Amino acid sequence: MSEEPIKVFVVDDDALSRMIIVDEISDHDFIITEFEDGQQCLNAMDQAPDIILMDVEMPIMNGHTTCRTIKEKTQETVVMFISSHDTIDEKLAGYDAGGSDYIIKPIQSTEIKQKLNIAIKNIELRKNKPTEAPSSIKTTVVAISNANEQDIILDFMRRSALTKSIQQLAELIVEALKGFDLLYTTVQIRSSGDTVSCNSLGSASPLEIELLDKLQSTGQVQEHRHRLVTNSGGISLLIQNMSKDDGKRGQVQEHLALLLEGAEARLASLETNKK
Amino acid sequence: MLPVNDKNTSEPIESSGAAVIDRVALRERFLNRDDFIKKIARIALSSLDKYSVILQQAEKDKNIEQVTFSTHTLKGISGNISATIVEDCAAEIEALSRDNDPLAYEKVPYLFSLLKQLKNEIKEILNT
Repeated sequence: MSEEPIKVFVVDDDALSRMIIVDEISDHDFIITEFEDGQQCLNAMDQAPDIILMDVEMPIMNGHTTCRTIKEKTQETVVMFISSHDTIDEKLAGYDAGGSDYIIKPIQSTEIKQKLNIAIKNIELRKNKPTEAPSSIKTTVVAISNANEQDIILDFMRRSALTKSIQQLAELIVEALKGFDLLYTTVQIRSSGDTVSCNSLGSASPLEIELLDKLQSTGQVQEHRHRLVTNSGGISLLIQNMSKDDGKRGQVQEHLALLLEGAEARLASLETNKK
Repeated sequence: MLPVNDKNTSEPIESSGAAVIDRVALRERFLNRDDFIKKIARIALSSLDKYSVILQQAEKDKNIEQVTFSTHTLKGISGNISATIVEDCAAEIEALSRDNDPLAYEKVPYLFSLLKQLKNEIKEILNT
């Protein structure tokens, strides 16, 4: 654990909900501050909270808008939405807004504690993470990010052959996609009992993992505005910032298909080696 | 389905009279901490009053957005105090109002009758 206590904001217009949330998390050594709406929370962001537990539906400024505004300024704060709507659409909307997790109302003690522990663990990992020396596998892909797109795919194919684990393969996919200006992507690879999920910042958030788990069986490609979900064999991608330009989007999708084909081949080979 | 006021007025429809708070579930949820339950009950009572007024005004003004907002919050409060019947009723009106269905207004009187009973039961908790 780091020495500084974790700072938590609880944002909900309903005083009763706030009281119950605060009671549930009070056995942790947190510095807790309560707010009645999103605007109040934004006004206090200079306190640099580590975690925000935020209701979705609030007057003045709702949770999604508040989260979007926060994420424009910092990626350091973990936003966990609290809502009574337990639907995939609601969760996708929370993901699009930049949320890391979703807690369903009425709050269950075990669930909130479990999810907070995951968030704290990720925060600690991030805070204590040493400056990473770039791995030879990743660096080349980034270095050629200005090269033409076919070169990126070819380079990916070459580098993927050097990967020794599905974790490395997942990280390589994330890095390669940066070459197509897909700066924030989440990858999930499922391989004989093992599942690995990571994103452009490192570990995938619980909300990203939940969405990829749920969306893996719903079709090969699903597009919604700037978001794309693609499933290919044991590999799923959740891409946040697809181009608005139809032509460019189509081109990127073609490259994605090629890249995934290569990734699947490597995954099959890794599985064979494992056996 | 919830009862609908045939006269299409704001006259309250009486609820069945059965308890709306599941006291066993409530005590279980908050680990039999009676002092904390009383604290919750006090806040719930004041929040129910606040959002009932908003709902009443929304119904009068035929303001569907405010019906959605107030029933959403009333749903949350009832859920937190283990009053599932009230929570379900508020949820149904919330869903109707999100679909812009005028039936939402017709169901509001029944919700008010449940809320009245809920407040009485909360007062009982506070007096024990």
